[in-house]
Order: sequence, then structure tokens, then C-alpha cells
Amino acid sequence: MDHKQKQSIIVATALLAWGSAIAAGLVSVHRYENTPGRFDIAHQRWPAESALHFSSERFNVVMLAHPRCPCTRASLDELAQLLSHCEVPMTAHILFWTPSDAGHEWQQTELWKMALAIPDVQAHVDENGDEARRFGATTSGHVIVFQGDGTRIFSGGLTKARGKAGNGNTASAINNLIKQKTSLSTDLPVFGCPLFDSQTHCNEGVRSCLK
Amino acid sequence: MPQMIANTGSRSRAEALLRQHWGQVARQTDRLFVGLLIFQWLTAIAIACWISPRTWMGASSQIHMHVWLALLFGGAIVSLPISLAVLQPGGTLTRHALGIAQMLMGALLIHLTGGRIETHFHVFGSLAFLAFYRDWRVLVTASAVVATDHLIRGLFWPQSVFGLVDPDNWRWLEHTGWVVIEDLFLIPSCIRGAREMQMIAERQAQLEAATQDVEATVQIRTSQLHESRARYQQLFNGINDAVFVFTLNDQGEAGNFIEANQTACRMLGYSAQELLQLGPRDTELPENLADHGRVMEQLGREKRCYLERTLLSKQGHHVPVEISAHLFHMDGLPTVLATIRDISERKLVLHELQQAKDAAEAANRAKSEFLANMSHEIRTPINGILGMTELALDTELTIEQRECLVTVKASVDSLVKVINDILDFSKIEAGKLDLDMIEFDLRSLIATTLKPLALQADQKRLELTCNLADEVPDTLVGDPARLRQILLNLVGNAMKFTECGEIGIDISAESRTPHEALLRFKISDTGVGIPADKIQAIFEPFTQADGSTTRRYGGTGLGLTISTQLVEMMGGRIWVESEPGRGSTFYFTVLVEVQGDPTPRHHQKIPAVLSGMSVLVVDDNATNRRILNDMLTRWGMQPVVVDGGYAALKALEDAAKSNRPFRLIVLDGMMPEMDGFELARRINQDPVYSKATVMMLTSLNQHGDALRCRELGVSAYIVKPVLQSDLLEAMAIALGSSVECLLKAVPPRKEKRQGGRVLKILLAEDNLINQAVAVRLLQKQGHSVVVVGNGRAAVEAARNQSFDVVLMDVQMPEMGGFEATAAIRTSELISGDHLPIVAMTAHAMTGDRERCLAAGMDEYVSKPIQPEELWKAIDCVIAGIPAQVTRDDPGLTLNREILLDRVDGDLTFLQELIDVFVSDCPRALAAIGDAIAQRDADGLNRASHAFKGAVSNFGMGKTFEESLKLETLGSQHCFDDAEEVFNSLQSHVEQLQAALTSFVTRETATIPGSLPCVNANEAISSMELERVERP
Repeated sequence: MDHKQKQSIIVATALLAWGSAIAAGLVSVHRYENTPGRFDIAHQRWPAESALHFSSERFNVVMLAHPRCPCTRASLDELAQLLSHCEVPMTAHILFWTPSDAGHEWQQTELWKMALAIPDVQAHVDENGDEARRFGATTSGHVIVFQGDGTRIFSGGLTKARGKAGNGNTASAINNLIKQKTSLSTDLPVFGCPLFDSQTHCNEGVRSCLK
Repeated sequence: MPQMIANTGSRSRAEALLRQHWGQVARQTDRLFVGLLIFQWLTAIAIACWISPRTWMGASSQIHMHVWLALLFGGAIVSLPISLAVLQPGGTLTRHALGIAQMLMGALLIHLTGGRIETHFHVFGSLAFLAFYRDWRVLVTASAVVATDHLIRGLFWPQSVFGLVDPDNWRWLEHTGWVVIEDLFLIPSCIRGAREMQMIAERQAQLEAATQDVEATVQIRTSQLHESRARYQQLFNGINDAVFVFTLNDQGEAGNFIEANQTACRMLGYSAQELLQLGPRDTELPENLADHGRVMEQLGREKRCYLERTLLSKQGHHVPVEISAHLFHMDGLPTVLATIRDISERKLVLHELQQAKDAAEAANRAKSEFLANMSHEIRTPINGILGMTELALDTELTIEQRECLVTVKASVDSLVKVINDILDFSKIEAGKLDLDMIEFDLRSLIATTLKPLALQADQKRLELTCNLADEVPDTLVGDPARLRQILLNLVGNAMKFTECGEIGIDISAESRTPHEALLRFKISDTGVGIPADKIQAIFEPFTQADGSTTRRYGGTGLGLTISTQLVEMMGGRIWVESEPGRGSTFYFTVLVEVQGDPTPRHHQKIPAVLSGMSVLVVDDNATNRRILNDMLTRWGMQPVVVDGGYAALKALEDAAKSNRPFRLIVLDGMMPEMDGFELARRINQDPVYSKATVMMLTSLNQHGDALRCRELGVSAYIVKPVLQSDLLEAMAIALGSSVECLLKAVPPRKEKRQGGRVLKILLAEDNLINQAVAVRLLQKQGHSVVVVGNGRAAVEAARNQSFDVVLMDVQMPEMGGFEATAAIRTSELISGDHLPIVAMTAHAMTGDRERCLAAGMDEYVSKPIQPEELWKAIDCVIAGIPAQVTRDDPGLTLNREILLDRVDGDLTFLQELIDVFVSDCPRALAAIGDAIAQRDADGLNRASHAFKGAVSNFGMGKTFEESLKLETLGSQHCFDDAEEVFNSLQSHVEQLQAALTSFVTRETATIPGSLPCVNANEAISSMELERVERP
């Protein structure tokens, strides 16, 4: 085997390794982005213990969000699209998880500002995730829609992958649900960062656990 | 073939350049993409860190997957191509890997930015960047990666590439289409770029080739330039002359030298560097500085100058030089190129040459002085010997004494000739041989020259013939003495080297104009001849054909050298054709001026009586027969030519039988079997033949020929060689033509001794022998002579007495001839008279004549005194001076010279002849008288003819004319005036007898004996009878 052949083999091997690495990377990313967050079965009715104001004349939309989750930006975009296209009056609340020991500025992120910028949206600090727990949400971007009688008609994420806004199909589906006054029986997967670490989540009696 | 090789080389070079450029572009683009990939990688990391730095789980967080993706996946993307770019820069695989990586990096960025459409522009930018490779294949690869990426991710992960969850299924194709569209622009531009690169490479290759050619040419030229420069330097420095170059400023002042060769350095003692710091002024002597500006001004004005100058060397030496300077423009500046030659040696040589020249001139002067003195010393005794010998020969001598004296005289003549040859050669060597151009009669000259030679020819039994062509003019201007010298030399040589046979002289005009004629003389002999290898040598001085002939024949060997020089001076040339054992023919030409009527005079008057006359020519020599035949035929006569006596008698007999007798018979005196005299005798005895007029051709060496001729009834005799004019005149006389006719046909004599005048002559001569010779010669001419021994006495005598002429010796004691002449001329300033003075000098050197004339003398003769020269000189100086005593008797004059010429100077024989004539006169006169009385015409004719022939021996005066008249009357049978003429004839005969008797008495009483032989033809041609009264 001469030097050229050796070189060719080396190059071919390198190319193969290179291609494999790239493919592996792509696959990893694909898996990461298309893997939904862990979620519990949300409550079917507006939790009474929630501190949020429930409007019985309107549809109430609640989004649980982690203020520093990069994937939630797409969820906020989808929410804004939902609210803007909804033909019925709606009250929207975005609850930004905040650790209890965190300062006021902890939740003052871009997502907070985006939330405030959406019309008819009320942003709230969900200190230590209490409200999330009440609504049964564990992943940032989880949206729950209640109609005026307090029953839930939708629960799940607005995006189909982490950080990917999509084309507003989910928001359209929710509008249809509102128009038809029906509910979606199953929860949709939520793509975002977990609102709780697994230990906290388990210690505090969340119904589902990552494990 | 060279062009093909050049093209092949250029093509391969272009390919190499193209590969080089490709590699260079590829490597540069590789490096660009390496940087770009790294930048993009970092950018991806930064974007990931910025957009999604961390992923959160409640309050805890960890690095976001995207960050790891950007870091690791991006690193993976760039790792291989960067490695290839490092390991295989410019490689095809490298750029394809880079292209793929670039596209994958775009995919990563698109993914990291959430599929933002703006990020897709990265793809177009990447393709544009990849186009830098100018390799469309890379674009295809990259585009394929893009298409594949969009296809796969669009199908399975659309939000990653398009940012949408549910994009159109063909959206990947749309993106790919845009990429293809870009490729449609980029790929052609890549191809075009590649072509341009190829063209650039080809052009660069061509340029390189051209540059190489130019560089090679430049190298060659540079090499040649260096060689040329080296050669120039070698030549420049090798020139034996110093060469300087300097410029002139606007004011024409010289600047410093800008070039100077090594010779210049050596000449002036400076180094080259030192010289370049100097200018022309610095090399000038201080005393020449004032003139320096003038030289520069002259150079500026005339552009060139040549001068000799002395320069100052560094060591202070004076260097004499010759400068040649030339002004020209170099680089727009007036520049001077000065070539300077050191002439120190030349000056030294010139000085030595001058000294040598002075010494040579001094030696030459000494030689000339020696020659002059020797000439004087030799000529003086020779003059004495010659003069006294001649005088002694005039006395009564025994035969032995006469033979001795004749031998002495011949020896002296030879000695004089040798001395003259040596002096002439000396003059030739000194370039001082001059020609004396005077008018002369060519035929007379030829006659006088050849007659003495005829005697010699006769002594050697040689036939001497002369043919002078009709077209040759008579009167010419030239130097007759020198022409005679040439003829004498050549004919004399011919005689010397010819033992038997004949010598012919042929003279013709090679070319002629009304004013000039180029005469050609041909002297042929039947002598020993000259070998071909000696022909050139004989014209060299002191040279003859060979030593043995020199010893056998003698001679100085200078004659031909002198003749050659003389011929060249006369504008001609001399050459010879010869065949050993068969003889030689010398030719020479001379250019002469034609004087007067160019038509030969003998053509003007040919006696009519000759026309149609039959004539018998008898001569054993064929050449003579031919010449005579030609002459007679030209005159309209009808010659019959025979070669001997018996043939002549036969011809006479035939003529008589045919009743056409010959009127004239021309006989050669000397012929085999029957000589001319015997033939004449037989003719005279025959009553039929004797009516013809007989002429005899003789050689004049037989004493008594004239008498024999007369006794044999020969009407005339003529000495050979026969000249046309002589023959014509002799025939006219013999046939009884009118004297007037002949007089017109014969040129008058130029020489005329003192016109019959008796002169009183003062002779200033210190040498007693010369005195005696001169006195005797002058007295023989009837002149009175007063002799003085020095110049002072001469001056005294001239002051106290009256003289017609002074003969002044130049070298005398107490007072020389020049001083005496000066004294006489000074005294004449008061009296206003002019006493003719003839110088006599033995120097005979060029310039003597001029010196004598400059000293106030009127003429010049050289010693030994030649009587003819002396008479000529005296004639010349006394022209216009009235004679003291002149008595002339036109009735009867006797020319002593003619008389003596007729008898070859033999006075004794003349006396006998006169005695015979005197004693025979009564009988002859009686015969004539009887014939008149008896009216016998034939008798009168015969008796008169015979008496006329007898009288003709003593001249052609009245006696001859009256005899001729009587002969004519007899032939015409006319007796009307016969008695009257006869009476007159008797009277003149008495006078002639008395004169002859007186002449004989006087001659025998005063100078008994004979005089030297004089030219016989002059006797014939002179028709004036003279009698000079003697003191």
C-alpha cells in the first residue's frame, strides 16, 4: 500500500467520521427539540385556590412560563397570535415562575416585556410556582384555556417543537374550540423548559413526575 | 521549428502558471474559508449563547443544547475542512470539504436562528464566496448539500430549516431553485474566471517568454556591450596617441577632461583619476595660457584644429606634441575629442635629419664643387689637348703623325663624351637637368646627327638607313642638342653592338595637332640583341647587358639612363624590343611643339620635272631599296629597283629596248660583285645609257670619291643615310631644276657665323694653352684678338680699347670673370654702352649659365670650347652690333667650310681637286665653246653638264648657274643666248680659278692641312657661297 492509497484511506475515514459526527449531531438536536416537556394532567376546571381573577363572562387563558426559557419566546408569539385572532373576549394571564428567594428583577426578562406588550394580557409573578402547581403545569409555555363557566377547553403547548413558533395552527384550533364551545379532551405536548427541577417537583407533590 | 518549440514551451509554461494560479487561488480561498468557517463557528456559538444560552428547570439552569450544538456540532463541521486546508491546501478535496462545511455551517446557523429566512441568505453568500475558487464543481457540491439539507430537513424537521412546522412539501425545491439560479450565474462566471485565469496564465507565459527573450537579448546585448566597452577600453587605452575628451561651456571655455586614455596618463605623468580632475588649461605651459583662449575660439569656430604645442607634464617636463582636435556634440554638449601625439622622437629625428640634411647638403655642395673643380681641371687640359690636336692636324703632317693625332683627337672626343655623360648623370641625380627650348629644323638636325655616324657605319661595313615620314613637321620647338644626344646615344649603341647588317632609323609622328606632335623614333639594328631578363636593367645607370659585353664593347653605361631621363623630360617614353642574336629595336617618343607651317616644306615644292620620270635604283640593301622606292614613288616618279650591277644593266637594256630609257639612275657606291663606280663606268661608256643622269650614294670614307664620280660622269653624289630632302635637292640639282625652286625648298641656315663680319675680340683667359687655342680659332675666323691674363687686365683693356666682344674666363687669378664683368658693367653705367661678354667656364654645371647671366654676362660657353658653340654664342651677342669691317662680293664667294666638307676636311685632296679643276678648265671651256660654235646641242649639253658637275664641287655660284643654263640650252637646242652665257661663264670661271688658287695658297700658307670633318649635308643644303676676308 503506497502513500497515496494510505492517504486516500485516511481521508475517506476522516470523511466518514466527519459525516457521522455531523449526522449524530443533527439527530441529537432533532431529538432534543422535538422532545416535549414533562407535564401533568391539568385540572378540568379553574382551580378555586388560584389567586388569579377568574372572569366568568370571558374566556380565561392562562400561560405558565419560565421567564428565562429561550423556548417560551415562540410560545408567547403563538399566544399573541391567538389573542389577536380570537373573536370572543378573553382574559389572558401569564404567570412567570419566580423562585421565592429571587429578587424582583429576576423575572424582568425579555419574555416579561414581550408578555406585557401583548394586548389584554396580564403578567403575573408566580412565586415559587404555586400557581403553576394549582393549574397543573410543569413546563414553560403550557397554556390552559377556560371558558366562562370555569371548565377547561384546552391544555397544552402552542408550539410543536422547542422554540419553534410554528404557523399558528394551534391558536386557530383554540379559536375553533372557543367558537364551537367545545373542549379538547387530551392535553397537547408542551415544548419548553421545565418550570421545576425534578426534586422540587416531587417534593412538593406534583402529580406527575419526570421519573 | 524554433517557433513550435517556443509555442510548446509557452503552452507548458502556461499550464504550469495556470496550475500555480489555481493552486494559489485555491489556497487563498481555502484560507478565506478557514477563517470564515472559524468565524461562523464562533458566530454560531455566540448566537447560541445569545439566543438560548441556557436551558432552565425552575431556578436551576444548564447550558442550552444549542450552545453545545454550536460548539460541538459546529466544531465537527469545521474540523475536517480546516484540517484538510492545513494539510492539503489548495486540494480539490479540501475545497469540496470546505464547500460542504460552509453549507453545513449555514444549516447550523439557520437552525440556531430558528429557521429565519434571513439566515438563508447565508447560503447565497456562501455560494458567492465559494465562487472565489472559480471551480464550478465546488458550487455544484455545495448546492447539492444545500438541496439535500433542505430536502431532508424540510421533510423531517421543517421548522429547523424553514422555521415552520408545516411548510409546503416543495419548499425545499424552491430554496434549491434559488440556489440553482444563483449557480446559473456563478458557474458561468467561474468558468469565465477560469478561462480568464487560463488566458492570464497564457499571457503571463507569453509575457514571461517575451521577457525571457528580452532578458536574453538584454543579457546578450549587455554582454556585447560589456565586450564592446572592454574592446573600446582596450583600444582606447591601446592607442599610441593620447586621447582626451572634454566639454566646452557656453562661453567656449574648456571644462575638465571627461575621458583620457592610458597613453595620456603616461604622456603627462598623471593617474587617470588625477587627469579627470584637470582640464586642458592645466596641461598648458604658462607662456601658452594666453593663447589657450584663441585656440578654443578657433576650435569652436572651425570645429577642427591642428597644431603643434608643448604641454606640461605633472613632473614639469615639457612634452612637444601634435594636437588634432575635433569639436562635436555629445549629449547636447559641445565636446572636444583631442588626439595628441608625442612628437619628441620626431622632433629629435627631425633635428637629426636636419643635421644630416645639412651635412648631406654640405657634402653635396662639396661634391658639386669637386665636380665643378674636377670638370674645370679636366676640361682645361682637355681643351688644350683638343685645341692643339686640331691645330696640329691643320698643319702638314706625315701619314703616321696624322693617324696619331687623329687617334688622339678621337680619344679626347671619347673622353669629353664620358665626362659629359658623368656630368649629365650628376645633373639628373640632382634634378638639375634642364632643357633649352629653341626652334630648330628637325630634318637638318637628323642630317647633321647622322652624317658623322654614317662614317662610323661605313667603317664597320654597316648599312645605315633613315626614313623620315612625310607627316613629320620640319620646324619644331625643343632642345635639339638633347635630341641629338639621344639619337647619337642610341644609334651609337646600335653601331657598337652590331657587327654586321644594318641600322635603321625610322621617324614618324605618332600623333599630332596643329601645335604639337608626338614624334616616334625607331632605331633598329641587327646586332647581338639583349636577353629578355636584361632589358630593364640596361636602362639602369652603369649597366649593360652583361659584363662580357661591357668589357668587349666598353662604355659608361650611362647613355641609356641619360637618354631615358631626357626622353621623359621631353614628354615621351623609351622602350626596347630585342631578340638575342637578331638585334634590337629601340623606340622613344618626344613631344615637340610645331612651329610655323606644319606642312613639311619638301612637300610644298616638288620639281615638276620629276613627275612621271622613270628612275633606276640600284642598291644591294633591301631597306635602302624600299626607302628609295617609297620616296621616289611619293614624288610621282616611276622607280625600277634592282639589287645589283648586273641587274641594273639588264634593266637598262630592257628599258632601251622598250624605248623608254631611264632619265635618272641612282647607284649605291658599294655593292658586291659590281660596285657603283664600276656600274657608273659602264653606263658612262655606253652611248645609250650615258644620256641618263647618274647619282651616286656614297659613304664618304673613300677619299677621291668625288673625283671619281666626276670622272665617271656622275652628276651628283649623296652621303648615306639618304634623307628625303637631301635626295630631292640632289636630284633637282642633278637634273637641272631651277635654283630658285631649290632655294625655296631648302630652309635657310639658322647658324650664320658672325654674318661675315670681322670682330675685335678681347680674350680674358689665364691658361696659356686655352689662350692659344682660342686665339687660333678666332683668328682662323678672321677676327682680331687681344689677350689678357686676368680680369683686372680685361677691365683695363675694355676701358682703353673698343671691342666687339669679350670672351671672359670665369676663374682667373687676381680678378675673376664675374668681378671683371661687374666692373665693366659699372663703367658702362656712365658711358651708356654695352659690351657683349661671353663667359667661358669649365664648370659646365647646372646653374652656371644662370650665374653668368646674373653676373651681367651675355652668353655662356663651356670648356673645352666647341667652335660651333663659340660661334653661335658670338653670333648671339653681336646681333645688332655694326660690323667693323664687312666686305662682300656677291659675284663670287667661296665657302671654305663647304669646300673642306666636300673633301672631308682633306685640304691636300682639295688642293689636288682644285688643281685638276684649274688645269681641266681650259679643255672644258673649249669643249663648250666648240659646241656653241658648231651649234652642237648634244655636245653643248654634255660638255655643260660635265662642267657643271665639276663646278658643283666648289659651290653653286654663278659659275654653276651659267653651266646649268648652257646645259639647258643644249638640251633645248637653243643657241640664242649661248654665247653671252658662255662669255659670262668664262669670266666667272676665271674669278673662280683665281679664288680657288688664292684659297689654296692662303690655306696652305697660313694653316696648311685639313680641318676637322664637318657636316656634309650642310654643304649640300647651303646654297650661299661665301668668302670671308681674312686679316
